Amino acid sequence: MILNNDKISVRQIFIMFIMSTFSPAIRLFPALCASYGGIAGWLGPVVAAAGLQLLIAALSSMFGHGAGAPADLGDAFEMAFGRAGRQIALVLYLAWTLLLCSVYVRYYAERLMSTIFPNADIRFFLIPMLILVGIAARGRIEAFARFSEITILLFTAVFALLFLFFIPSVKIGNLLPLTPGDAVSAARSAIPVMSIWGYITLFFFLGGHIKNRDKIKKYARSAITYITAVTALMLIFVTGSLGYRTVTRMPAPFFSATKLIQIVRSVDRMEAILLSLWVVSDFVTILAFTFIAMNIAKKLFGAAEVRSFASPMLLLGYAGGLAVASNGLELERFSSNAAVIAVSVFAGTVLPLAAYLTGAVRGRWPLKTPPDAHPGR
Amino acid sequence: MEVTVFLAVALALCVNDVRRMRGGGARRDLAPYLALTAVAVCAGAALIARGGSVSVIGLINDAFNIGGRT
Repeated sequence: MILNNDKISVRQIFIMFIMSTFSPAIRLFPALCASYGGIAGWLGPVVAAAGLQLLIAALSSMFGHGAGAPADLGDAFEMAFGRAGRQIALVLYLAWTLLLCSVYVRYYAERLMSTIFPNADIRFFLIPMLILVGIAARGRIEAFARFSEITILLFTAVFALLFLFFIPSVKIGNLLPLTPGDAVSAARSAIPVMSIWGYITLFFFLGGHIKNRDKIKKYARSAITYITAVTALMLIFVTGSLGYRTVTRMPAPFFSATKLIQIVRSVDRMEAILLSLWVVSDFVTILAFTFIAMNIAKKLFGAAEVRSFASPMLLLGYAGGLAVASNGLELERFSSNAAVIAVSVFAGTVLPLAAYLTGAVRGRWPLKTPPDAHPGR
Repeated sequence: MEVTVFLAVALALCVNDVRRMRGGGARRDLAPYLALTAVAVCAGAALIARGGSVSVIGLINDAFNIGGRT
C-alpha cells in the first residue's frame, strides 16, 4: 500500500525531523559549538542527546498512552493549560514557525547567492523554491514523508563518503586533550544543538496525521543514535581538520572544510555535492515548516481542511523571505544570537516539558513513559 | 510592478481556493482562509513596496534590544 488517508508513521516523522535539522546543523553547529564549548564543543551533541531523550520521553508519555491521548500538540496544550492556554500557545508557535520558515527561505537563497551566483537577484532563487513548496504543500503529507525517506539514504551515503575523505586531515591535537573541567564546556555546547533538535516538538503539531503513536519510544532510540552520531562526526571532522579557534571565526566551517578534500591530487570540488544536498535539505526544512504552520493554523481557526492554508503560507513565505533580513550577515547574527537560541530552546524543549509536567500533575497522562505496545515488531 | 504581480498571483490563488472550498464542502474554512490571506497579502504587498529597506529581524532586534542589526 503506497498511500493511505494522509497518515504517516512515527518512523517517518523522525526521518522528516532528522532531514530538517541537517541544513541548520551544517550551517550553525560547527561554529556555535566551538564558540560555546571551545575544544570540547564536539561533545555537544552527545550531551544534547540526553536532553533529546528526555524531551521525546515526555512526548511519548503524552501521545502514546492509548485511549484519551491528545491528537496533537495543540490538544496536549489544551489538556495541560486549558483552552485559553492552548490558543496562546498556538498563536506563539504559529508566529515562531512562520519566522523560522522565512529565515530558512532566505538562508537558502543567500547561500546560493554567496556560493555560486553572486550579484544575482534573490527572487531568481526564491520563486522556484516557493513554487515547488506550494505544489508539495497542496499535496499529501505521506508523499513528502516518502521523499524524506529516500533523501535520507542519499544524505547518509554522501555524509559517509565525506567523513571517509575527511579522515586524513583530522589532527587529534585539535580535539584533545580534554580535562574533567571541560564537562561544563561540553554541556554549554549542547545548548545550540538543543535549540535545533527541539524542532521535534513542532513535528507533533502534525499529530493528527501520525498513525502508530504507541511506538514513539521504539523509533526514538534509532533516531537519537543516528542524529547524535552524524552530528558528532561532523563536528569531530570539522574541528579536527581546522581547529576550534579557526572554526569559531568561519561563516560556514563544514562547507569550507569540505573544500579542503582532495583525493590523490585529482578528485576535488566535493563541496558541489554538499551544496546540492544542502538545497534538498532546505527544501525539506521549508516544506516541513510549511506543513507544520498549516496544521497549527487549522487547529487555531478550527478549520476542516489543512490544504486551505497553503496559499496564505506561500504568500507569507515569499514576503517573509524577502523582508526577514536586509542581508546574509544580519541573518547569521540573528541565528547565533544568544536570545534567539534561548527562545528556540524555550519553544522546543522547555514549553513542552512544562506542558507534560502540568498535565501529569493534573492526571491527564501518566508521569512515567508507557512501554511500547508491541516492542517486538 | 512587483507589487502588481504579487497581487495578481494572490488574487488568482484566492479565486481558485475559494472556488474549491465552496464546491468541496469546506465552507467553514472560508472565513479563516480569507482573514489569513488578507493578512498575508497586506503584509506582503507592504513589505515588497518598501523594497530592501525593511528587515523583520532588525525590527525584532530593535523591539527587544537584543542587538545584531548590521
